[in-house]
Amino acid sequence: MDLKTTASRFIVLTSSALLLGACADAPTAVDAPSSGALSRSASADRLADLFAKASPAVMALGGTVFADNDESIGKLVFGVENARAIPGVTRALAAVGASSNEYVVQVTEPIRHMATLRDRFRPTQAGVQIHFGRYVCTMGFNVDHSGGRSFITNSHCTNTQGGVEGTTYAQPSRTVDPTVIATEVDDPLYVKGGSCPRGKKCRHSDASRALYSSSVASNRGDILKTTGANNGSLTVGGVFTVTSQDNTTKNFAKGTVLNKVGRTTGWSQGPVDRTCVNTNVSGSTVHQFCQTFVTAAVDGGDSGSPVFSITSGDSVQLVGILWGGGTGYFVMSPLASIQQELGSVVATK
Amino acid sequence: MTLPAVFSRATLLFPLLAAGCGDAGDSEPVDTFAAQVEARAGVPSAQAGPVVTLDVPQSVAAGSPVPIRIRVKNETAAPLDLYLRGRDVTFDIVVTDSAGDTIWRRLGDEPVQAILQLRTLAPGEALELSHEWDQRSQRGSPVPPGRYTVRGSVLTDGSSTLDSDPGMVEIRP
Repeated sequence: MDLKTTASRFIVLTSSALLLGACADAPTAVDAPSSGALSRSASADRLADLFAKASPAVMALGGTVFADNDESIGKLVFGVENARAIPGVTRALAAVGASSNEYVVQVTEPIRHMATLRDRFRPTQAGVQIHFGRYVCTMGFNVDHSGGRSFITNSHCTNTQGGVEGTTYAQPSRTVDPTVIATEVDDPLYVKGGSCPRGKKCRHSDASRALYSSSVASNRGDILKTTGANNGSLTVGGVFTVTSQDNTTKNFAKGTVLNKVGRTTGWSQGPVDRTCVNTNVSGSTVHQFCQTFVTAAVDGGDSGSPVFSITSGDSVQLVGILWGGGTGYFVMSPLASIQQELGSVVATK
Repeated sequence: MTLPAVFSRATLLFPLLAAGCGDAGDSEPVDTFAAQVEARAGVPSAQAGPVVTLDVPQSVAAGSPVPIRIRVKNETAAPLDLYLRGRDVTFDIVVTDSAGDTIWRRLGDEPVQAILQLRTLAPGEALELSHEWDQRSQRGSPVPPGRYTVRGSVLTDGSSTLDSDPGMVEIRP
């Protein structure tokens, strides 16, 4: 039943009745309703009574989608996911006294909750929100590593950027699910000297590794796909499959189209604008060697997003991890540099 | 301020953040702050969100640092959740000359980390962020005496920011 429609009808009818009442001469006798009107009213009352019994009985059955007392056709309408559910519904309706001309059972598309990148995902998949301390980031990608089943996120998405403090992660947040899904186990220290600019501390990637808790399942090679590139949607509409990973490139060709999926701005896509850039990080003494700038959207919370190129359809090649950006561009660390610092990983399906 | 940055108490999922931040860490009142500009950018009513205030002195002698302070205050009766970008709260200050050209910007062109911080302001609590502009342009050269417009903003989780209204400062010869 369409509650809004019903409510609107009620309001309109009530208002009409009030208006009529106000305009009519007070002592005028009221005509008796016709027998047809009485019949329709009785039929509607029976359907309403029937609906009150039938709806809970039917909706308790597997494969049912909706129950509606459809006043426009004078029948009860039941939606089911597939034809196999129809016999059970028919039996339940017979049991509450409904005759076959009082209802319709139709196959309809199931109503699904549209999950977003900020929802809970088990097994975990890349691109979802993770939470630690008072911060929120994005889970980069699941990997197999010699140290165990893990995920990669940013070094700055740990309690301290550089160095291992055993940061614990929840997904999507500690309040929604307090389970510790993983614990930081690798986050190399930033180093000074050498080619690192004076007053800075340097690394080649903004990446860390968190080891999964044994009870938490993860899907290696999955990156959640939202409804479209550069549309800002966070609604999950599919999955990208990591079929290959780029273990060597640090110098991406300018113009190469790269993508990321992050919990704040979803799926964004754009060309490489600067390649192998040594860059400072605003508000810190951190300096990152040989990073890639991509002209695409990013915002707070996207840190850790997996970066990839689409090879065919939903098949992708993993190329790096996003850690920041400015107006109209994001910055990522190449996968080659990540493995240089964290050791080799397998991220493919 | 726009909706993505601010959530009602009902959406609070995370622990409170008690301490203030900011690179200068100066939360004390500064006597030279004569001009105070309040903004309620994008907020439909006085009860709907934080008040963003920019403090900047009316005039400063040439060569002297210009203290600038942004204050984000919860003037509502309920706790207010802010989703703010950066491990430390990231804020920007933009100085423009009388022609409207940008002379200096605090964040410059450096990339900002895309981590998100969750912060709750109790009723009456304020987040204060301060910085001193050294009267130099983005290229590092001293700016000439004159009147300059200063704007402040705090970065959030969306394309929007917590923006102040502009303030004016005069650099005296």
